[in-house]
Amino acid sequence: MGWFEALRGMASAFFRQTAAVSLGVASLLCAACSSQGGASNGSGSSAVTTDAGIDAAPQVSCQSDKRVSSAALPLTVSGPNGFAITLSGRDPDPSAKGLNDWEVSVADATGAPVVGAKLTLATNMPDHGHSSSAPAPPDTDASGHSTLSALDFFMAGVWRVQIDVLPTGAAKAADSVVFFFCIEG
Amino acid sequence: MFGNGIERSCWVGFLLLCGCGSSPTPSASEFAATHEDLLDPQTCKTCHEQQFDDWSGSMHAYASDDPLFLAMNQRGQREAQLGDFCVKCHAPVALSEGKTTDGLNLSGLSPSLKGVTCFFCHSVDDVQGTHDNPLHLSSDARMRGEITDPVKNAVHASAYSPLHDRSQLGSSNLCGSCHDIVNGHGAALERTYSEWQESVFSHAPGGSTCGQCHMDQSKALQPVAPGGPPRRSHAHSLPGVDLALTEFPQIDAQKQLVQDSLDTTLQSALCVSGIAPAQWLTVILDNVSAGHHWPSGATQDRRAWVEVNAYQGDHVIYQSGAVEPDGSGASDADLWLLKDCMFDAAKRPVRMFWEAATSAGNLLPGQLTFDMSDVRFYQTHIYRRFPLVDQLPAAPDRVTLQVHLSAVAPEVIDDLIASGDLEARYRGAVPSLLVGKPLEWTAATVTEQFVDATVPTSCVSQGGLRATADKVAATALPAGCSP
Repeated sequence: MGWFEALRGMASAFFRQTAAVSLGVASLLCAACSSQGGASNGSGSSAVTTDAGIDAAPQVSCQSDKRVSSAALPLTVSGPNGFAITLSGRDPDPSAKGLNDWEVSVADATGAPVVGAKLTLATNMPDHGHSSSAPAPPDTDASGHSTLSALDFFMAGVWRVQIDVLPTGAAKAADSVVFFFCIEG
Repeated sequence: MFGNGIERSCWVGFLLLCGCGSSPTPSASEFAATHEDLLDPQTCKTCHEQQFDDWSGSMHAYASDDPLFLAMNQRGQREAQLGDFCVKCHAPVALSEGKTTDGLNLSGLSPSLKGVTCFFCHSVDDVQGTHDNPLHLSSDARMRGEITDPVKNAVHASAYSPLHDRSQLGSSNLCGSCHDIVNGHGAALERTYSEWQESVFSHAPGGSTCGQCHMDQSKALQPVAPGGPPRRSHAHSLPGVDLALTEFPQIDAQKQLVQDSLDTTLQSALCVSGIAPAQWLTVILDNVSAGHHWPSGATQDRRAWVEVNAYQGDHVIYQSGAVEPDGSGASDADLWLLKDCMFDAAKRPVRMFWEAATSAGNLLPGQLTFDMSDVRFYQTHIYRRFPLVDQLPAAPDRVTLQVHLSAVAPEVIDDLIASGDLEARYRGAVPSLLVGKPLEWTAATVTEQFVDATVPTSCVSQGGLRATADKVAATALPAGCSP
């Protein structure tokens, strides 16, 4: 008699005696059975069987797109005039389809935090030719930090976020920084 | 051995709960779940609660209960002896288990046999055609999915399948086989899959599969079943544009998902062209994110239309596409209506799909290329003028644009009520949905001003649509097609 039959016999007898037993009790018993056998909770690495005759079709993903940065955070990108924006946090992480929040910090060409700057966002999918709206973020604080809230990456593919930096009192943007990244479907 | 229902339920529950986590790999005959257990989505819920909850509010779960399907199938069986044409996709498990032949007995069947169930999708091991459900179900009780290293468990055998892997282009073949319908006369009634194939979305690596748009990836790593490793999983709510008409789980969540999708499907522009008093409106629509035509699916039953209102002060000086007070669709002479029309062999318009020999319409095509330097990039920018002839009666100072969608047109429902196949309480039950946010043109909101072939034009747009870019004129509905 294998483990399965033994278990089945025990369970059958148990339930026969207590027909109204709750599944909650059964789940407690599970703790014992699932801990046996030494199998880990990790990837079970059971033999993978694929159906004969079905080819793995080409993969659809933007992760390998050359424009996309897959570097871990913090991720710093500089504009043509030397301003640097560091993406230090994001929710969710990595960015995903739907609404996203980004934590960014702005530094000028000398590396000093840019305080009180207005940030203007332009979010779009360059391959599709459409944009996405985002609320205006708060001006950068004393450490050059701002939160970009509710960035709406509403579909899978390569997205581009352009952040223009308008320092306090400036008539036009001092620099423009662009992030490219992949949203998986 | 298990003489009563309570005992058996407890026993199965016991084993399923035990089996959720990893355990020694039993031999094939030793998995806890029987064929009958696997048929029942409630069995799946034991370990895959999130996936079950998603699915339970989906149109896949509703497929056998939808009163419109039941009414149309009933009428089709009476008028055209449709046989298993409808149930092949609406109740595929009931059909494969030999519990129905025509769907007329679905109300008496076990819930586990109704709808497009977990067992159905996760048993597919081959796709042997392109439409009308050519899916082959395995007989090995092995549940297939996109996980390449499934956790050993005592409940069911598991296997990776590229057909279930949303990142594989070929996974769309599985979904597409029921979302592409050709009737017995050869009329291509639903063409979502073939529309996707025609679009750039069917090209790797930059496209999107059905699952990548309709089965969102989870934002956090989480076990697919208790005791399993944290993984990216994906939603099983599968929003499209149809909604349950009767009490059904997760109905508000499903509505929100549908609305979220509709909010971003189209980009649009609204322009005032010409110089007073010779002025007209131009509306541009671009189907940017559907990945197939829009609308799609049962487009002979769907109605999408454009509403424009031009004002001078508080006075409406021109209007097209206004929804009637009773909620029925618009019907004015200038109406830009998007739909499919069906015709019989004598080219007479017909209402029911089994009568159709051909089907044609004026749907918005899916994107053809991701290359902006390719002329095809702009062939999906479709424009239409209002009024169709002549000019506006006066110069507007404010114009509004709103796109609407009715997933099933009121006249289709009325037809089924009139034939006695649908209860009258369903009149008005299908909501008219708003597609995207309203767009308002005023002198202050104009974002583009240009001369378009000698005509001064000023536009406002949403979604980043450039009104100055190339575009093509909307095609009219086929002659003889009535709304």
